[in-house]
Amino acid sequence: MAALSVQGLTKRFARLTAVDDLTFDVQAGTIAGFLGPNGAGKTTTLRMLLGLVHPTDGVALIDGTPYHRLDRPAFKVGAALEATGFHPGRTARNHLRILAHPNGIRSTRVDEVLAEVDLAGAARRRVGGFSLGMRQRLMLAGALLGDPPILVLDEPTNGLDPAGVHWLRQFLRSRVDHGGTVLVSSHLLAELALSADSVVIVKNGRLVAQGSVQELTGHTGSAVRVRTPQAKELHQMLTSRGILAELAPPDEIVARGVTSQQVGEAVAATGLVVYEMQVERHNLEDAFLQLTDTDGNRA
Amino acid sequence: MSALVRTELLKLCWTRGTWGFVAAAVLLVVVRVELLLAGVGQVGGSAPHSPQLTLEVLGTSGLGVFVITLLGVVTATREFHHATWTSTLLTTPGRRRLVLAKAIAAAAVGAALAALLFLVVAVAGLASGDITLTVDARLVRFVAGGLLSAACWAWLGLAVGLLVRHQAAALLLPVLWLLVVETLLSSYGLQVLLPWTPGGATRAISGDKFAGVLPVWAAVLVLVGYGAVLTAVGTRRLVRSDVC
Repeated sequence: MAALSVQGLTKRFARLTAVDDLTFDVQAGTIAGFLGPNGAGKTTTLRMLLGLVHPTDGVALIDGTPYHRLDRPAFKVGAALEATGFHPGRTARNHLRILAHPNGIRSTRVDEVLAEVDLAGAARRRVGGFSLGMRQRLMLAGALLGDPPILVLDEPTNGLDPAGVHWLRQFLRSRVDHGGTVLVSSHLLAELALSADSVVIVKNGRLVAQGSVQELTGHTGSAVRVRTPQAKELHQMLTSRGILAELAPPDEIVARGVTSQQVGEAVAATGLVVYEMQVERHNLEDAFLQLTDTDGNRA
Repeated sequence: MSALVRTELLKLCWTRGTWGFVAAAVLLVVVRVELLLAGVGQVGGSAPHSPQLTLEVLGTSGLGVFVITLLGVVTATREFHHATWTSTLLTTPGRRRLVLAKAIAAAAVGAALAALLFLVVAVAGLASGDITLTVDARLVRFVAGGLLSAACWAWLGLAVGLLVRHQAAALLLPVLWLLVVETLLSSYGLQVLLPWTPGGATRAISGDKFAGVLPVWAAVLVLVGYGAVLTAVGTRRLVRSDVC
């Protein structure tokens, strides 16, 4: 059974359809990235998953159960949504104690999660004076209170410094290595490419693509760029061997659908001079931009 | 449920605004009781050490009902104002249970604050040397009625907060109702409605005598009825609404 499952999920706000018949699963023990342009319906989907927004149609399940039917949800799923839902006058420790109390979580656990997110030193400071990065860490601490196997995070890297982003990546990977599951929405595509096992891409509330990062970047291909004083000769040689190649004036060739090894061997066989050879792998950002482009929509 | 109620009580305790409301209530009743005590023995004032003066002194704590109601209002509106409904509903997805816990907590805090105000005015009265506190059935009924009314008003405040949501508007509404709407009823010849208003029911519970006054049990039912209806409508709205 999938740890998180969204089936035919639809949400309409008056005339606006924010989420439109969205279906995807997140398998247990994986990090799934949830991507989409602004207004794609990511946050609405996450909020439906967490029982905060009522779906117009469809279901969103956590380990096979709707969120509102979970008994003591803090032990099943931890969620960190926007970093604004704090009473500014409360201390970080008291904020977490308020979250811990209804689920019967001990106060000692509050101190543990504060230390885990590196906020132990700010435990008795009022949240109103926290930076965005500190609020993000506090949100994450709240999600970890019940040590849940599933985490749902909405833009958790907002406001984090590079060290914080690195820490979060390692932290999430460690959770998953110990059997946890993470669904994380983020605009940091390069970051997601490093940490996510699979990616769900939505646009206008609809599923555009789902798969591993490798699968998605594979869809948009890779290329080998060669700089040579004999560009025309190399172009002819490659095309005569059935390799798709383009001239990139003044002195470059871009070969597609081949490895650098194949190009290198072809160049050596013909004795052409090559100054530079570079593999251009299409990254997640390229795939995302291509998949969410209106004209290139694959949905 | 007890954990939820304790959580709501903790939220109130760990918010500075709550203590501001408590301080404001104490200040109000201290000023009121001192003004009353200043007139003791003068023409039109009650005689020192009379049972009537004792009840009048204790009755000054009733002014705190405004503050107690506002404290009930913010029990709900703070969640909207600071967007903390998200984290609250993530820990407690059962929205009806949550409202019930809030109502119990608000009522308990309302009654506790009323008890504190009774204590403050009693100490002020005793310190002046003008009252003698003799515990009898009338006094016990008066204090019990005051505590019950305070609990109901805190609950009513919560219900208003669930319905109106905008903190400033929700805070203004009960004050306008008590000071303007109920006051104008008599001016427009609608005094027959007064016993059935929340303010009229509260006066009946405190032993006030006026035209058409309800028996205490009926007045209690009226107050509880207002609380139940408003809370039911507010809960229905919360249960159906999306927390975006």
